Amino acid sequence: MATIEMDGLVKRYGNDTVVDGVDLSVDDGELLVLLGPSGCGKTTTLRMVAGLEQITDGELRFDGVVVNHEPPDRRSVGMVFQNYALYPHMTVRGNLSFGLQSRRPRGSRRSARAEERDLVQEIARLLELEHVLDHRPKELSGGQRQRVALGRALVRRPQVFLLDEPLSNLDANLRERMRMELSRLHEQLPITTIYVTHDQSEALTLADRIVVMHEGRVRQVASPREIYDAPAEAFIAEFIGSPGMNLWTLPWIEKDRDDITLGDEIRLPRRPDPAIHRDGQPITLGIRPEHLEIAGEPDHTSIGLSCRVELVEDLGSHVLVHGTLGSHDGQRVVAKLDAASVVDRGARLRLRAAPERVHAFDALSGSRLGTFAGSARVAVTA
Amino acid sequence: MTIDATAAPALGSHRGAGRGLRHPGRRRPGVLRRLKDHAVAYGLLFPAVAVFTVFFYVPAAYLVYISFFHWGVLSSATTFVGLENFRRLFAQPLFLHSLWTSAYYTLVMIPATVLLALGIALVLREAVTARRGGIWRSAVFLPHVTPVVATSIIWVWIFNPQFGLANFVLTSLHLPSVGWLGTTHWALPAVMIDTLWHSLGLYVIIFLAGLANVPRELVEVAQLDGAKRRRVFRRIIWPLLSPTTFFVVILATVNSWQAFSQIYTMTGGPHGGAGGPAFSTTTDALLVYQTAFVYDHFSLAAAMALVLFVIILLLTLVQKWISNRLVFYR
Repeated sequence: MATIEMDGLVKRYGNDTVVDGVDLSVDDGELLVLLGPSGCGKTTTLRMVAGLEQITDGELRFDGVVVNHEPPDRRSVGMVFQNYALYPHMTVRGNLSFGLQSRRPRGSRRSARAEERDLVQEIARLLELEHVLDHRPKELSGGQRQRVALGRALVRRPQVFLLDEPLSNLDANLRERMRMELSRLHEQLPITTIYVTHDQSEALTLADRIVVMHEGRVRQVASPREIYDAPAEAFIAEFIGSPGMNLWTLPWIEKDRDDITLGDEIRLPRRPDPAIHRDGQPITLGIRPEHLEIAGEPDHTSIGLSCRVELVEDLGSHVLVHGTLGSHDGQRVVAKLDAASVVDRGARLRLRAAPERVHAFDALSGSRLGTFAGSARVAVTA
Repeated sequence: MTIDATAAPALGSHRGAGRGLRHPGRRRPGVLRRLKDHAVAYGLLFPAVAVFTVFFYVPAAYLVYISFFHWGVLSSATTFVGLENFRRLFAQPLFLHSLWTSAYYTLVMIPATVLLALGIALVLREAVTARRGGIWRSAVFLPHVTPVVATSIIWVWIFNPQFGLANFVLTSLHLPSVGWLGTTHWALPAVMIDTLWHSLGLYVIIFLAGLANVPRELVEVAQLDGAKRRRVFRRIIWPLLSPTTFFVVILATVNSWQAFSQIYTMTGGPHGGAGGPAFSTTTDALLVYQTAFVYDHFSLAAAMALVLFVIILLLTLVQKWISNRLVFYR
């Protein structure tokens, strides 16, 4: 096992900066997930850790030792590629033992070879590959190939385990099963792991900590719960969750100390946290679709937002309602409602959310200001 | 015993209902009908088939035919002689010598071609940046598009024992100068050098295409697995390149057995001395030409060509048999 520290890692291709000053540390035995949209620099960061890409600037340390110029074979790194990259001309046994053979000193004793055979057998047993050891990759199913790729990376007992979107080539059911297997595997073999994905459900279920990347930079490093509950930026709020958080930029109108409204529709009966206070400035409001609920009769905290239901998607376990906020054309709202909800297309719908579920972001920078916890219940009528 | 036709479907399986039983009155379309249905396809195929038939299949069949006859271009009489032409052929020391020369030429050319072309392709892939890659690839390929006869004449000058560039290089390196095309020992190697220079470009391009098909991730995984460059090449790149190598070997074998133009030009063909000195560069293909068009023994030349064809066919079959065991197709 090892700790990994990235200190201002930069990767440039000509004038194009792909990774722009990544500062990260991965604890011994931790599973860190790099999450972000395509082209955000997560795979390039992983490849720099593996030694497959030269580091343009910054420092990479394994257990405190700088490894910037160490070739890949001297970093004790096991890696699983997106397309598995199995040697197609070798059997599963050949694939698993190639790394051990490559590192075996010349003229090693027979006992060393027997040890290699035992290691291959052991990893095959762990990953349930014993019955396909003499098969070639093209004779295997997607899940088996994935397990061979994992086994090949693990059989050498690497100090660092790198996974580059390892489940993206699998169908939905298999992906879910393999996700559980990966989780089980990490419990059994707690190797320091960096896992790259653009799939938030993988990130949220597997990670000890998630690193959200965007445009080559780290935007937030936190536990899955914190990333979900307290996204550091409006971009993260929208990226995490399915569907992502509803975001509306509304003007802050403060007539007097006790009469604050956001746009024409949302009244804040109590003064919110000073950090959120934006007198005369616009503010971005965010509510997750699953935190919206149908409001009952209007009460004194409810302020009507006139809008209309445009589409209702019944997904079995829940209903997705898509609508548009009335007086703010183009500002859309999505609500994830209980499966029993009856909503008609074209109708008006009143929704509400608990104040602690209503997030505020700076309208210009997108950075988080806080929630409306402490103020009265916020109601939105859609 | 009679079987009631109406009972047949009940007795038979589903298969019988679908394929075995025919509806009365429904007949298979005739040849004319099928020709009519596929008239456009046959029409489009016709020019290619006609050209191949006139210039390839008919002469090839006629060559087989005259190899069993005594036949001359100007003589009207053709006499069936059975295997006499073949008997005469194998009784001729020059023919056996030409077979050996062709075999020697091929045996040297195949490994030289594969090693040099693969080496150059690896260097080009590793050392040349993508931007300049096109220039280098063009430079390597350019000799292949030049006319063999023209470049062979230049190589005759290069191999001139008195003022040629080859001997100048040798003497500059303090090595003894060589008689090249004037000696029985060095004439064929000189032809080989010319042929390699002329043909390598094509094989380099083929190997570059093969190397481009080796996934980069496999090389990277092997590096992460701790394999050094030599092991990565031997265990990963080379096996995945085996279909390309096999194709190059087949191509080089066929081209070597058919080598003619460069030998004819470099060894004094226009002056009547091709294949010299002392038949040291007389390959089978050259002997076929000389027998037919210089000595006017067409039947004998046809028999030689047939033997050459059988040899190339056998070699290709052997290579194919070997490839089934050694070549890995993804």
